[in-house]
Amino acid sequence: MINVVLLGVVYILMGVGFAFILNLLGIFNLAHGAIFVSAAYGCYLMVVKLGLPGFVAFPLTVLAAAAFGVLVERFLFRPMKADFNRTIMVCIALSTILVTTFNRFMGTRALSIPPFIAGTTGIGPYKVETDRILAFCIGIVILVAIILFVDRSRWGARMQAVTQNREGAALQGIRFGQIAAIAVAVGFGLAAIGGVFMGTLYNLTPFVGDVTLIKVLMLVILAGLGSFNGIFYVGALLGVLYGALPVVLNGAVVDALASIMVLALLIIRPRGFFGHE
Amino acid sequence: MRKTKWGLCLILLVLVLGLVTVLAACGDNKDTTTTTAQAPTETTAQAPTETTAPVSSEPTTPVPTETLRIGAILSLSDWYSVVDAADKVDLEYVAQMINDDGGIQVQGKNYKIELVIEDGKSSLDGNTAAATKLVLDEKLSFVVGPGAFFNLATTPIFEQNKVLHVANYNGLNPAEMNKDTTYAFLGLDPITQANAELKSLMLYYPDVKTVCLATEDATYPAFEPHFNALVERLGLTLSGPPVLFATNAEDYNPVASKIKAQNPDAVWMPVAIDPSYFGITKGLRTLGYEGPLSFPIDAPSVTGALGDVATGIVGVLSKQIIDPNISAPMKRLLEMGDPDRHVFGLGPNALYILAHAIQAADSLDPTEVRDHWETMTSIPTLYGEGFPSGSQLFGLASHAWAHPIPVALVDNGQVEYKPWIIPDVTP
Repeated sequence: MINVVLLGVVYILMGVGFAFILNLLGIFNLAHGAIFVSAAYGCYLMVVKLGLPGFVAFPLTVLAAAAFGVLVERFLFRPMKADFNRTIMVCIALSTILVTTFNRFMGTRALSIPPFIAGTTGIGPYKVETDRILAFCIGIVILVAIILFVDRSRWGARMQAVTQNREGAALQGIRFGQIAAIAVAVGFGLAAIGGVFMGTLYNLTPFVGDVTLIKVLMLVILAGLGSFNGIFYVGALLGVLYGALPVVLNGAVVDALASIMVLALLIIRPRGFFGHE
Repeated sequence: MRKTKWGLCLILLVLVLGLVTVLAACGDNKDTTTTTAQAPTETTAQAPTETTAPVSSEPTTPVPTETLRIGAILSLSDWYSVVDAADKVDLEYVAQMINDDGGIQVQGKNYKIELVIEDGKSSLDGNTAAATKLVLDEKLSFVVGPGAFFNLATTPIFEQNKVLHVANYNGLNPAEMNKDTTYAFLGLDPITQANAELKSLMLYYPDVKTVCLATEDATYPAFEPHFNALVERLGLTLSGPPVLFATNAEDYNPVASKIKAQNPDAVWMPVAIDPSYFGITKGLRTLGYEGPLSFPIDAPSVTGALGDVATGIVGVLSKQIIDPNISAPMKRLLEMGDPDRHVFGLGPNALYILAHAIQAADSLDPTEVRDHWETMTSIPTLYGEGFPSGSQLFGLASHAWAHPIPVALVDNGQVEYKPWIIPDVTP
């Protein structure tokens, strides 16, 4: 059960981060998986090579990813003026550079970030790694914080205004550049959180982000482009699919099943479960 | 002004963190591995420690005057580069090793190996393009690689053009190698590796009677009858249906749950990749499963990724310089670069045996080399003396080769190197 909900939380974190950038900037951030994996490697290096405690390395990694997001928005995304073709190429280039760098410098070994809290917790024979429970709790807190940020904060209101009508928002004095920078920073930060969770609980290779990116794309398409709430429901659904179904089905069958779902939904309801026309 | 200040601070933060990260990445990784080499206590398998003669057997090392261009297909980009990017380094070291020893001697001349490496791009069409380029553009007669199931794409091209090709490893698909692919050779019969895994498991855990077969699902259909026959030959019983999984899964706990439900004496994972092995091991130990696990390992990777959870593991194929049983050529290869690097040793071994086969045939004609190679009953490999295997399986005699397999036991994050296992010949 904890596997299902934890996977769901990681997918939702990644999906929300991706949706932030897509909804506000109209950019299909294909570098999201590379940011995810870069953050995981960054945290690994801070913990293993520099000896920082996980609790210090984790926020530092997220901050660095968010800062990197601000730079990427300013120097790579903004000059492309949301042109679909150009931004796609920028994302692919960014992804290739990051993944190749880690592949080259970190070698081919599968790595794992040491657990923040070692050991297991449970009742009787039912045991779960303590780190999983911790990651789940942190994930939930961050998701609640994101919801509050979007729904209750002044910046959240401005972001919603930009999503709904960019020109109208501009007329109200909302500066798009600032909002875009925050959106990319939050998006990259959330990808970093997902990456650190995955790197701690599972394993880390330079290409692990590709697999996760495909799931994020599935999540965003199934939820419906432009839908924020839909990501929570569909993220939970994917968590069940990938966390529980492998118990009764073989792994590749689960992948195929998820792909069939996406195809069927695109045919029956092209705008996704919660998308708008 | 304030905005500029913030911008500068952000850039500085990223630069500092980036610099620290790169500096840390450039350092050695000795602190991430905890290995303990102990003297072997068993003498069940003879360690191949004799020094293998250099390819050129002149008393004084001659300087090669000619050049022999040998092709190599490695996936240097995308997902399989995790294996092949490392193999490329060692492939070049092996070529250097042979050249340093005087190269390949044919008809009284010494040939220096010049590698022509093409990227298979981790895809079938990428491998097809690479093979086409090596054959038609480069006009090469000898090629090593590719590995895994990519031979499906390259074998027809090589066979049609009578190019002698030595696969690093294959997925047992008949299209990769069969009685009609007479120019196809194989550096390691994969069934002998599986055999070594089970033999060493039975050797160090003699009470094991039932094993759970957990393996990746894509290659299983081709391996199924051979795995079943192998288990039967060794007198073991499968604890239930095979537990199949995809190697691109993130969470292996559901797989671990399925394995534990069979309550086997041991778990055998013949084909997968490190993240799968590590995820399943971690999941099983968390669930409280205490039986031994057998799978191919790179000892520092296992201990680095799993820490103390790495326990009860019978690992094969770990090539470490601190292994007292290490073969002489493998030791020399490890000494040529960072001795702690991850050596897969598949493509490099294919090149090593190809060089010996060419020299033994005393010819640069691929058909003559093939004909002579088919008469050979042993060949030097990086792992010691190799022997032919799988003549029924592949429908070709002396085309698939096997060699001694390194064995290591891992308990509580500590590695103990054991005498290498000589696997049984696959029928």
